[in-house]
Amino acid sequence: MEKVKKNFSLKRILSGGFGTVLMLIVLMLVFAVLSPTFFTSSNLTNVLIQSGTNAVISVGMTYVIISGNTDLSVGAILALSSCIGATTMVQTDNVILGVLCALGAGILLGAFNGFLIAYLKFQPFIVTLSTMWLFRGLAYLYTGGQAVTGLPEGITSMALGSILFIPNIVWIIAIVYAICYIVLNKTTMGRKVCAVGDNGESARLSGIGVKRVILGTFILSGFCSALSGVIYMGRLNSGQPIAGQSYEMYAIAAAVIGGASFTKGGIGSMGGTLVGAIFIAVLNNGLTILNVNTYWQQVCMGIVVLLAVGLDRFRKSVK
Amino acid sequence: MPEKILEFKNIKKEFPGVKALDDVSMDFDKGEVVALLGENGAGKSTLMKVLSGAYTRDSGSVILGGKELPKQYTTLEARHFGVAIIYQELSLMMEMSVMENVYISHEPIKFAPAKLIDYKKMKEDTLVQLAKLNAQHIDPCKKVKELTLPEKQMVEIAKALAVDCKVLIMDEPTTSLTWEESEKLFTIIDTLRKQGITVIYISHRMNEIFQICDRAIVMRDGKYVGEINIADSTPDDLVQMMSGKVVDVDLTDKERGAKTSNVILELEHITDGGFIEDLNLKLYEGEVLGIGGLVGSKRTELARMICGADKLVGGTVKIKGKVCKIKDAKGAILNKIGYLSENRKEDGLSLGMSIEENTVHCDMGAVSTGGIINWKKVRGISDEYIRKLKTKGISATKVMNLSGGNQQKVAIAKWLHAGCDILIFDEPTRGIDVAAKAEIHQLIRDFAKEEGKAAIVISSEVNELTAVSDRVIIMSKGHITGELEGEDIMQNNILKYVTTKGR
Repeated sequence: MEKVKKNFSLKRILSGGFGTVLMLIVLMLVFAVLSPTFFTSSNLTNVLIQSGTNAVISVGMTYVIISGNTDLSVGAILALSSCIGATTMVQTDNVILGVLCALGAGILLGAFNGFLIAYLKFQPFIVTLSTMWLFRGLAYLYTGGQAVTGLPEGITSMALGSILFIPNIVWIIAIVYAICYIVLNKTTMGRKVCAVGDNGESARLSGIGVKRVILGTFILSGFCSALSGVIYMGRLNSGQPIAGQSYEMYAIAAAVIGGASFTKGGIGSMGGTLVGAIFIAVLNNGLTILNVNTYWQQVCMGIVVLLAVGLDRFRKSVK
Repeated sequence: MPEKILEFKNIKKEFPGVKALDDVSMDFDKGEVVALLGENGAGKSTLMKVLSGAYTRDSGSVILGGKELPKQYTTLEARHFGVAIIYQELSLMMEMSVMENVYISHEPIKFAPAKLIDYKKMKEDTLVQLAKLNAQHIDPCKKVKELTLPEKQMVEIAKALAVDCKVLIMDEPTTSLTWEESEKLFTIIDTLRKQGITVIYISHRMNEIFQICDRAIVMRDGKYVGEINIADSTPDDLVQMMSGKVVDVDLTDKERGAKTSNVILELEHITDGGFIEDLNLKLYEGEVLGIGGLVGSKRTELARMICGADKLVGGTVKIKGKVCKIKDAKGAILNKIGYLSENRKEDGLSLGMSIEENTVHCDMGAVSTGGIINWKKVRGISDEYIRKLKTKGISATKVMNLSGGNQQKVAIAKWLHAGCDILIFDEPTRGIDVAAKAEIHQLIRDFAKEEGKAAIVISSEVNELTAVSDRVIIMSKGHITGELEGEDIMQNNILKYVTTKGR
């Protein structure tokens, strides 16, 4: 084989997976210059905590996108499962049982999506658009539109506490990403997800259980949404039926900023998505510190996602 | 002295790490049909893409009709210069009508200020173009998706003619055509030649080249190698020039094995609810069974049913004497029977993934423990197949960056690794150059000669069947219409059966 020359031009750096990280670093430097409070350890911890809910949802979303599908119902699953968990906690005063109920609910709701898409061959976009309303509506009906309050102490300390000076949320992110990274890259299961997304028909003819793989990704997405719901519940010390509005968009954005392709399956990575999720959190946090009003924050968000997509196009054109 | 219509002068094009075109010069006369040949990766497609505007050349000049073309132009501009290209995969809008396709992006206009499309004129003009091809029977108002494949090809050609095409490039146009359809296409190419249009014909099929071309130009490794006049040379000359190697030859009778008595696969009363009805077939251990026939003979459909890609409507499949109920491809692989698809791009490979991953796709269990993949082992296996099949690339190369022939080798490696006892190869060497063909044929034979194994090769190329099979059956419209063994396996015999219609 011919040796490829090492070339450290900007083009090369941007064309690699390093481009997103570079963008994140630049963004952080800009905020550090503009605001003295940005680069304090307490604020940076804050950023990580703020990124928590989205980072966890984005894991499931990345799997779904890599398998060539999409899941718009994650925010609604977050709301419904956390309300179910919250009421269980209120009634039984048992935090663990409440968490398990929430996670179980997430798995079932995800399985419902996956079943319709994988086995009944419904369009993923339409299915999850429908279940987004369906689950959200059920969350309102279930709680009567009111927040579920009076949760036991344990849930707050679980979400906001820390172990070994590191916030629990950071631990959760680290563990979820580590496991899902290993599964995606080192196991047959993960590679099957990629194969299905890259070419579903080829995967089927290669003896890969395409339906089960797709069902699996939606179950994971449901689980991640519910786990995120548990964190959310702990932070607010209540179960909120309005929680997680438009979270699906943040999760998709995180995955796409991280290099996943929304139109073509098989592409995406855990590391990229994590950077994407942190990127969004940094952006929100920085703009808030700088007292940029929320309308402008949305404008910035839009521009940044467009830039990320542009970077993606650029990457492909360089190749 | 004939008029020169197209000249390439010192064309260079480089991709990262590869010199795709290295100082290529050649020229084409008006109204001549020229075959452009070369092994996979020789640079034919790259050169044609440079001409059609899909790629920009690094240096050199292209002169069309006496005028030098600009360094950079779009495919649309190329069309207006008079260069049209017809790819293997046709590029028509399936949901639009024939005439809309023919006049796309230069529709006849009425009432200029509003730019309304003059459909009446469009229809008339389309009929004029189609008439040049003797294809008036195609209704200009019909949607393209409702046409047959050869009709679609006619529309593509008409589309080229509609912009006053000077040079028409055809990239393997007969790959998906039946023998009769190909013959019709050749008549049309002849008509085009008489109208003064230059046709650059890319194909691997020698008999076609000798039937319709005036001249053949050979490329190798991105360079111009040489050219010959078809009238005073033989296919062997051309093949020698292409590869510089000895070619694939028919098996001798000695090499052809006799049927053993062990039936490894037995099909009984197979039915697909359509053409295939009560089909019975036995495959013996150690043999390579060739299946010949025209497009529409339902060979692929049969194979897909046996291997769980499509639903088996009726009948039983016995493997080594045991009745197997195969529900899907996964079940087929568990029963140790595999199917190499004829369409590597659509359903044969994961193009965005690496060679090594594709290689182990059918049997990831073999390279993992407890679901955790041993990437070192994967790399080892993949490296070995790359060496054995002489694939150009390394294990980490993404399959989409390989040429068609090398992609096919990856697909074959994948099935060889699947651990199957019976493999069905559907058009295993489609689009592959002559030298690589012989290698693949040898691999198939080696596989079948291993203990307890056998292979079926479905092929539309008669010389492939004679080069690889111990026994040949011919199918027509879902029925077996002939069987040949031993010394009867000759091209003429197969052709005779192939062209005989089924019931």
